[in-house]
Amino acid sequence: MHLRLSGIWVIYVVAATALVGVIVSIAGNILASVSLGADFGTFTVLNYAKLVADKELLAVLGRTFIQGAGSVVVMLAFSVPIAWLIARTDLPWKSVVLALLTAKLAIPGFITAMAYVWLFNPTSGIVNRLLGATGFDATPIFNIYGLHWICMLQGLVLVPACVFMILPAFSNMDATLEEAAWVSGVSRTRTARRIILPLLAPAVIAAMLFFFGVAIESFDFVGLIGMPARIEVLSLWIYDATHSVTSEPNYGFAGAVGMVMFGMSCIAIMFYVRFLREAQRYAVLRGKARHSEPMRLGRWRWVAVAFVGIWVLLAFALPIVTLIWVSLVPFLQPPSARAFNNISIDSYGLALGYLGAPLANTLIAMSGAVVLALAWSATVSWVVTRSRSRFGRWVDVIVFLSPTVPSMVAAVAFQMLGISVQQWLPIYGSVWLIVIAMSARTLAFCTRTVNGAALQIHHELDEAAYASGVSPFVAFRRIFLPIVAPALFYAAMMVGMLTARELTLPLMMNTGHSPLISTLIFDLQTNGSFGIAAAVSLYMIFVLLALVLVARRLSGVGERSAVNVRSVRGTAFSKWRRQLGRDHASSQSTQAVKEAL
Amino acid sequence: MHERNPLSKAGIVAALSMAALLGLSGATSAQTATKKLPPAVSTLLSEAKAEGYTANIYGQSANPSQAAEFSKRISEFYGVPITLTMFGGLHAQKASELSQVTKAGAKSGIDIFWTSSSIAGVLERGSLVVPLDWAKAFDFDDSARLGKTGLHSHDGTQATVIYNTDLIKAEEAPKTYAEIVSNPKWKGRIAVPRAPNVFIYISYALGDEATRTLLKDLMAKQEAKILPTYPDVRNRVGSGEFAIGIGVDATELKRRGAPVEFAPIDPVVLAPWGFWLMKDAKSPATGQLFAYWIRTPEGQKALFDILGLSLASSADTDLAKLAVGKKAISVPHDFMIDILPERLPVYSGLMGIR
Repeated sequence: MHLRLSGIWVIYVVAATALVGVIVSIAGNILASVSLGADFGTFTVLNYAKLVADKELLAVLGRTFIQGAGSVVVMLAFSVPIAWLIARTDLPWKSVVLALLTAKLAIPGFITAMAYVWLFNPTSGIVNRLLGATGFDATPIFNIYGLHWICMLQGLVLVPACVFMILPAFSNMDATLEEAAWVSGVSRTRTARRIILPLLAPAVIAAMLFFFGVAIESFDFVGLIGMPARIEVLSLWIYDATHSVTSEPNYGFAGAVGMVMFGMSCIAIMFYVRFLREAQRYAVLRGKARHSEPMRLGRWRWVAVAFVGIWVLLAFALPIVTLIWVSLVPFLQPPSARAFNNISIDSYGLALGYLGAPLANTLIAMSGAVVLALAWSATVSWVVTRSRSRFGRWVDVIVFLSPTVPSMVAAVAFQMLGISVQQWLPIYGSVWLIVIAMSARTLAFCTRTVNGAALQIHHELDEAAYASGVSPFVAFRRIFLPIVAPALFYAAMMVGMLTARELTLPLMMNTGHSPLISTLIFDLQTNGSFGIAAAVSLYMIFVLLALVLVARRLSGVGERSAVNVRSVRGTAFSKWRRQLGRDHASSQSTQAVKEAL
Repeated sequence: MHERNPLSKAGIVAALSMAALLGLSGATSAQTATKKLPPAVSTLLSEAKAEGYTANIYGQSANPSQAAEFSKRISEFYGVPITLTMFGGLHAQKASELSQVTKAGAKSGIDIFWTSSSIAGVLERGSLVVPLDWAKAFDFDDSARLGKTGLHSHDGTQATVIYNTDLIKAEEAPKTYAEIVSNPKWKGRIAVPRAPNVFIYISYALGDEATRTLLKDLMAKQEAKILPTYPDVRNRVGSGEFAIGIGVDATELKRRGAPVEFAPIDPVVLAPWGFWLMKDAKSPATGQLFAYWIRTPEGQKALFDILGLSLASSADTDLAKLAVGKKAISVPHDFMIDILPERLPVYSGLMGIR
């Protein structure tokens, strides 16, 4: 009994440390919002007063909502079909699609923005130029500087993360339900509408709400496209407040704006919590599972390939071609005869010489962040989805709120943490503070991904384990972890990629001795060496891609782990059956279909 | 069986390298000996040995090759092997962070903070820098002094204007700030960084009212586009998206072959940058040696060759050429410290920045 208790407490203790990490950034934001400028010791309500008094506030809130909702609509329009195609069908070249989705995560957002600015800007955009619509007196046909472009591009860029978040839930869905519906003569459209979509609802809704928060906090496209067009949204206000070039940053106002984002996310979370209450309706991983063949696309195969191809072209090919182009020319310029004459591969040689220490430090930061984020997300997800305590729901809400904290404010909060514990734990200025900060910043994504899969596990499985005399800790290790393994894998990939790309935290914590790839790229861009910066980015993408492919091969996600999951479920269920001597699962699928229809 | 040849290629290379190193050290020692270094600098040289001849310089982004080139040239100057670590970042945020770091008793990890007057104000207010009279210590004239605690390193280009030579002919390039807002052809083709300090520098030369009018016209009449950073402005003028960029320089892009040039705006408004010695510097002597060297002709040449920066008074530099025949106005340190808090909100408001 003593051993059982200590086992379960390990989970709670690890989850509690995760919560501390998240609370640091949230508390930092709340503290900032009531502080004067950058002085965290002086309290004031002036930030809120300034915010409320701003006559643009309502308009900005409206535009921010459109930015978030528009991005999410575009993101879901691509990611739900792509996830379904990968998880449930015989779509060809799945590995290639997964590799491209992964590689896309490593491409900095501003590269995508820059590619589109070159193509569609009104004064010198390549497309406008081809149509003869540039020049001092011409009227442009395309103008990138609009909110709809921000939504579209941001939505396209969010697709890989969203696919990785919902893919585990799609993969875990019990195919017997679909098959039972088809056998019962229900059309595929109706099956999708009445069975598949409702079953996937928790994962999709969680993704939708989560990425709404991410979209409204994101600045890449707002900066390069929205700022010149004077499209004011909340993230632009935060940028203004935190990126002063002449005086101390106004973290106070940024914190107050962050609290508005909090508010918007709280509304979203209310919906999510309602879904969580009914989570067991969507639990489909019961004791008995059947292997099912992927759905044959038949003549729709090539339509599916074309659909995925559109995303690849818009979100991957254009930015990667841009990155390659930038790496070959001496300064940023659109393609032209003159530019082609100046092409050189010198940047690649120089970049190779610069990679050493930054790459090593980045890999250390990535590994640390992945390990910590996985430990945190597995334990937090277990507490949220399996512990059946009220505390779990609150933990989930707190974690869900964390992405809305502006990254600059979060960076400052973690710096404060580093400084406060420096006496006992010298992590300030080291990669380890970045590791902790990144793990905490990505926890919401990880738990969303893992929760999506975990919510599909019916409590029957836990009950079967407990009834067989298995302790909760062993059940966590032997049932929960193997079942959520694919989700953890995708979460690990995301954490690794986001850590590799993260700039704000390393830039704020840079003391010159632990350069990362992101700070190297920043330095290169700042002094105009865009070609070398692009070459460094391409090397990094190559390294990350290789790491992901090796990790996939070793972990067997999508192949071996699926078998493991089935085996785990089978074992636990058999034990339960032996224990209770009854079998009531045979008609579950048909019953579930009847209920749904 | 392969026997090791005593005259192998590696052996020859090693012998030649050793000879070259000895020759170089002899030559540089002789050079240093012929240089008349102020007594304070000679003292610093001996103190720097205990610091391992290394210094951490924050403020200017330098890629590894550039940092290595700085280290090579300063080592040649002093005849001792000095290694510089140079890194950039967000100055205002860093200065603010260092205030908190110092309060908590932690170390900044920086020896020299290389920045503009307004950021130095944050450092000075937080008592983060040594109140060092560099000019007196190093026998420089008063122009080397930046405020009470800084050493003037180079003239920043936060108030200069560049144009794309493919889009604007040299004879049509603006010659005054007023001309930028008077030509309707450039409507929507002017880029400005999201940095109101650009106009605070300009206001020292033009006056507050004229600068407000200039800003209003830029935003309303010319529909100038505000971009997130200085490099954005520079690069998007270079790529031809914008015809004119305010608050940036053309040197680096010109070296890369981009069709950009400084606009011959008269007066040439110079934004001084300088060095500040951190109170918690781990290598204060080496840091000061770096600062002293940058003020010398050799250091100025290195600064211009490597980063394209210089004092306007340094011969054969882009700024020196730009200032020929024009009135060059250097914005005083105290003006930025005293006037900035008053004008910053006004100019920010005119630019639509909160």
